[in-house]
Amino acid sequence: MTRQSGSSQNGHPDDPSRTTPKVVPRGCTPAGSMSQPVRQRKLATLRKIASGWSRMTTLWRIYTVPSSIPRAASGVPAHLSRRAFLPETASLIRTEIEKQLPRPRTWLTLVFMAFIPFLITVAFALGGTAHTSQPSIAGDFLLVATRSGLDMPLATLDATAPFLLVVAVSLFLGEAITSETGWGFLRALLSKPVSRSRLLLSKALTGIALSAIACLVVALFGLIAGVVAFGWHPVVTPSGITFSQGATLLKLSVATVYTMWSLASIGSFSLLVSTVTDSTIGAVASGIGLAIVSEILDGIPALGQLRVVLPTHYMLAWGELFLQPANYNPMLIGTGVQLPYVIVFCTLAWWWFTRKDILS
Amino acid sequence: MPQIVRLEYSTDSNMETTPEPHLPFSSPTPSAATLHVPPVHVRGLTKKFRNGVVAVNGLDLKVEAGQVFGLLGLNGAGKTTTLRILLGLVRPSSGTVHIFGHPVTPGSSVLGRVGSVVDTPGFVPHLTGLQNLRTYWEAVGQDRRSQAIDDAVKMANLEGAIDREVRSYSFGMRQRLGIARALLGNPPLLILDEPTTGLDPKQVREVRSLIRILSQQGKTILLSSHLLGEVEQICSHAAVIHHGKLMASGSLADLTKAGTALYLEVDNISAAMTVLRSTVGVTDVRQESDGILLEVAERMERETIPRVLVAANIGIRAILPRRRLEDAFLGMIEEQDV
Repeated sequence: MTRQSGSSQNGHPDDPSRTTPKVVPRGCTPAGSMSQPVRQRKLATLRKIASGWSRMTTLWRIYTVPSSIPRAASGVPAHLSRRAFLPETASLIRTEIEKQLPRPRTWLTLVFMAFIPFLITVAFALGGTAHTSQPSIAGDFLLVATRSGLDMPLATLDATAPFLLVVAVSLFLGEAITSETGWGFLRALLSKPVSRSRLLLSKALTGIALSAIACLVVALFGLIAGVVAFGWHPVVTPSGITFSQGATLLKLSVATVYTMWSLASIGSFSLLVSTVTDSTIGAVASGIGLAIVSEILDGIPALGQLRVVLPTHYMLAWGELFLQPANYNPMLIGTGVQLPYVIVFCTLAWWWFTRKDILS
Repeated sequence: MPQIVRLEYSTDSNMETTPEPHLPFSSPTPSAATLHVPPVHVRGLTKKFRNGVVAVNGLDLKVEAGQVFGLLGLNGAGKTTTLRILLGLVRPSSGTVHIFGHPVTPGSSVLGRVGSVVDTPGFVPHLTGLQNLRTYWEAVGQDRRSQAIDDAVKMANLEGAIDREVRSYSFGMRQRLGIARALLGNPPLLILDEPTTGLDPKQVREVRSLIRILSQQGKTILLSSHLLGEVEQICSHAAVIHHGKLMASGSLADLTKAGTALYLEVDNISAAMTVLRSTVGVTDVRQESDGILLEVAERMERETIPRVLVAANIGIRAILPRRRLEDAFLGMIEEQDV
């Protein structure tokens, strides 16, 4: 309540909190016709709502009013700090996108990601349907890639996720800090009142967006190439189940989003290393290295159930969407397994970066 | 070769009469209480790195408003580390750093009142000079379309090159763009680390002129250098750092007057030099630009010099105690090492 009253005294004339005590909603029973305890209860509820609204508007102002606007005109009470989180973070993200989009490495990576599905499609178009004596397994879409154009994006996700997408994600997040350190631009930025947390957040969000675009490009260009080469037919999965085009597109969307998330641990690890080292190659290689180590350990049956906690163990779990009925459990577990990695790596990245001495 | 800075920028009457634009960022507005606060005040500053190297060791430093303050030291003396701590880039192990009375921490709002160039100015190489300025200015929370950008572009005086990618810039062009970026928003305090490194003699002279003009406009300038001649020409005050410790601090006159050197301006230099060479107690006589620099024995009575010159019918315009900064600096360093 103290904060609310402070807010009202110091707030802008337009601040709703200044008028809240007088608010009486329409249809409210006149005071005289209501028993005293009921009236007090209703007034207490109204005060709580008003207090909550006042706090929300104050918080909104603190975080959205640009710091260039004088405090007196901002409606932010004098006793509260002005951080203008949202607009300044938005500015940082906008400038980060401006820096990253024109970079040759960004375009080359995305073009390469678009090229791979065409390459796989051409290979299948020339080589025909795969023949294998192995029993079909859910998710092994490379075995059935020529049966429908809709199989191709699934096949390309299957083929690229364990390595190519790992490289792309490691590149986009591993370079987040190191490239700017190398240019010396980070030093110039951080010698101004720029929050390191916000800068890291903007870089992480931009890296995540580019990584997500890389996953989308693989799926989208796989779909285009597949439909052009093999037509728009219902999908027959490796285990022989047929899905309509609509159902397949829906499952493809889920599979793409899941693939993005399954790379989160790799990306956050690259981000962490990016804050620690000044070497871009080291930061990118660390993400790829983590994926390789995880794959190697995953291939050792002696580890048994320990393997389920490896960051890449459930990477292709989306394949079980194409069972009848769909098995969502591996995806749910895979989603859960990524979470602690992301939390730990990102927290460490933030902790390190906000305390780091900028020496280069 | 384009000029390093367009000096008309600084001498433009508009620049001098226009009130200082609103200070960038949410920097604290100077109040009556803070007007007399030194722009830079460092107390007991120590920085020990994880590898055990003590870069700065108990440094005390105060830079008053309007001073052009030189931080002198050999390579590795701790100058750049000190400047980085002042800018919130490096955390001190102990001690305090205040800028305009506000403690400095990474991202402090008071850093909005500081323009800086530390090491070589860094830019995004695939963006143009103009895009770099705009991107930087927006990233630090300012309007990318503000007049400050136009002023900086004029200041950088890169002409057509401002629309070229920075990767194609020469070192001198980057340095100019870096100084222009430091002056974005007209900050009252400038921190420059080796500002003339990599510039050709003409550009060095122009940077010196720019620093003088900025100083005349009331800005406080703290610059580090190991080029003592440069400091001698630009700075009003200096501090000597050696092995992270403060050796001496004060006005250049204070730092250099304690020696046995005198500077004379006379109406007949050649005759004066002949007379002085034959005077007992004078150990060295050299012509320096329009005057004479002479070294005298420590025990020699200084009154002897004007006496012999007057006796030789030589007019004296000025006699000043003079020890070159280089001598003073090296003397302090050697003393410490011994």
